[in-house]
Amino acid sequence: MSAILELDDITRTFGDVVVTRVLHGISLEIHEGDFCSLMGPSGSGKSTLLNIMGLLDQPTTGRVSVSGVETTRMSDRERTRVRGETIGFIFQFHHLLPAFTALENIVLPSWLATGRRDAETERHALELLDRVGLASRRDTPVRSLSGGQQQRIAVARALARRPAIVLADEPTGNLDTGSADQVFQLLRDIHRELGTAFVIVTHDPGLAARCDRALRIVDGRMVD
Amino acid sequence: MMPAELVVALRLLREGRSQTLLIFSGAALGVAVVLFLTALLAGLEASLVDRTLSTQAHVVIEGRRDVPSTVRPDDGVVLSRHVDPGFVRPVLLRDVEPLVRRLDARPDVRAASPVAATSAFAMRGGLREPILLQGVESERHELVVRFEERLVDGRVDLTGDQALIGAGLAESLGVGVGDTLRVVGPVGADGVFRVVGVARFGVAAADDAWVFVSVRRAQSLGGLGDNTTRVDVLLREPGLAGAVAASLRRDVDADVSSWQERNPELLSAIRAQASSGIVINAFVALAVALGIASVLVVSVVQRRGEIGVLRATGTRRSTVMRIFLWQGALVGLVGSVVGVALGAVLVQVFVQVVRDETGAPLFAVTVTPQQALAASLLATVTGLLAAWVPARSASRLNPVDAIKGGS
Repeated sequence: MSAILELDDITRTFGDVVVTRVLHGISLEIHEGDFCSLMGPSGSGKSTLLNIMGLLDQPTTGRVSVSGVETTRMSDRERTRVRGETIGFIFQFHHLLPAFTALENIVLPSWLATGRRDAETERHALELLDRVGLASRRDTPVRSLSGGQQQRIAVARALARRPAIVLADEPTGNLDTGSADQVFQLLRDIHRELGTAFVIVTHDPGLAARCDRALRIVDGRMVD
Repeated sequence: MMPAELVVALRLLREGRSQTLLIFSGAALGVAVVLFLTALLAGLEASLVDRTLSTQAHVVIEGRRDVPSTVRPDDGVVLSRHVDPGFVRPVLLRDVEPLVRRLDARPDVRAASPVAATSAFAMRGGLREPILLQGVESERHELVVRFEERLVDGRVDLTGDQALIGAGLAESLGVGVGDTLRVVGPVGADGVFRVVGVARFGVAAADDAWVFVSVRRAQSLGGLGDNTTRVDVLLREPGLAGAVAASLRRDVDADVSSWQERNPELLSAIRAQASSGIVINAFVALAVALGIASVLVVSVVQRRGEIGVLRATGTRRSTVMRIFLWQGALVGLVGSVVGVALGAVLVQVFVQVVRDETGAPLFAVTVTPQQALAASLLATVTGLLAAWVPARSASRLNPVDAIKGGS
């Protein structure tokens, strides 16, 4: 299977005077159809790693390739395009736009990126809405939805532009156990149906055990 | 279809509720104040100019007034002028017919009226008042002075021995329509006129001293021969008087002056008024800009998470920037619509409430479409500029930091 995401000898340091090295030469590949957990203690660098994988942050040294294309020397505009077309995000806090309806929140990223609101995008968004079980709430402003429902809308939004990989930073960390389980099961189902690769940051060993592949990071280094 | 950025901007504004209401009100008030002030100053200026021009021609052509002077022989610099403080003889403007024909032919001239003017005394019973006796052709001079509008009694007819006099003079001599008046010219010639009209010109100097008679009679009383002393020129566009005067100066051997040159203090008053208006408008715009900017800055901080996710999901910096610029422009635009209406109401209230002692409005104040458009444009540009800083900071938010901020 070909690598969607390839990290080669990534380091990341913060600060100019007091230099903190968060990542120490990390190399890893995520392949099509992978369903990985990323675990590690607090401060181990997992969020930093996820941000670099998602082209949200730039490594201090090393290379990040998306579908074989090196991205670290791209302009911000170009990286934004690659990110939008290839990578979906789910965050602990959904950060939906409260003034918009469920459907609009799903369509908006594509609409803002392409300037078009076409029938195909809309149809796909409705499918996703149906897939996350909220078809009946398409025109409800997201502020009137429950936390679990909002996170499911965020899942649909992450999938709206048909990404090859979805990066999820503690997607269930803010939910009660029941909703958390629902959302996690949703991710598994989508993986099975669409073949989208997932990297899920979690603190929950139970959830990690339900993933196909476990990535562990300790003190900025990958451990097996 | 509306651009996505505009839709998002509109929703964010709607979402802002009380904040949005506050900045819209601020912008609307700003527009209203700017519009009101602009209309007021324009009305005041128009009224000042109108009052001045009601008794003055736009351009006056007079005989050259050669004043004896001491001139430095080597470079011609005037060292001093000797002005006779006593009686100043009328300066003649010769060969006026061809000049008037040329003026009549000019497309920018509405009317040209030759005037034979001389100082004189008017007498009635034991009373004696200094006057300015002006011989005019009433049809031509009507356009310059608008006798018909200013007539308080009688009619305009300057044929034969008939005269039209200022209302102040009529009062001080105790004469009215139908009475006679004796006029003594500067060289001792005298004549008797019958008052057929009394007019109020609105300027004390004119009301107290002006007497209009036929050209012929003024010439003989003033000892002017068959000459006149000046030509009053009325233009189609009063604002162009300076340019017309300059072009006439090349054309005729006479002193030519525009109304602006004859009223320098009026012009500097108008200029001072205009510049204080600009300063006030600028400060109003600045206050509105700061209000819009501060509300948008807060909105950017409040929406860090959403902005971060939009950036993460492939929204470009420039798109984020446009979302916030649109908000500024919308505040300006909507503020303009409300503000123009409010400004028009303010003007109406001013016109209704502020009256002179006779109960008439002080001067006409109207909001022109140009003023409304200018105020709206100012508000929209102000909104855009005010949104610039928050828009930039929104577009430069690091998605990672923005998302980490939580909600």
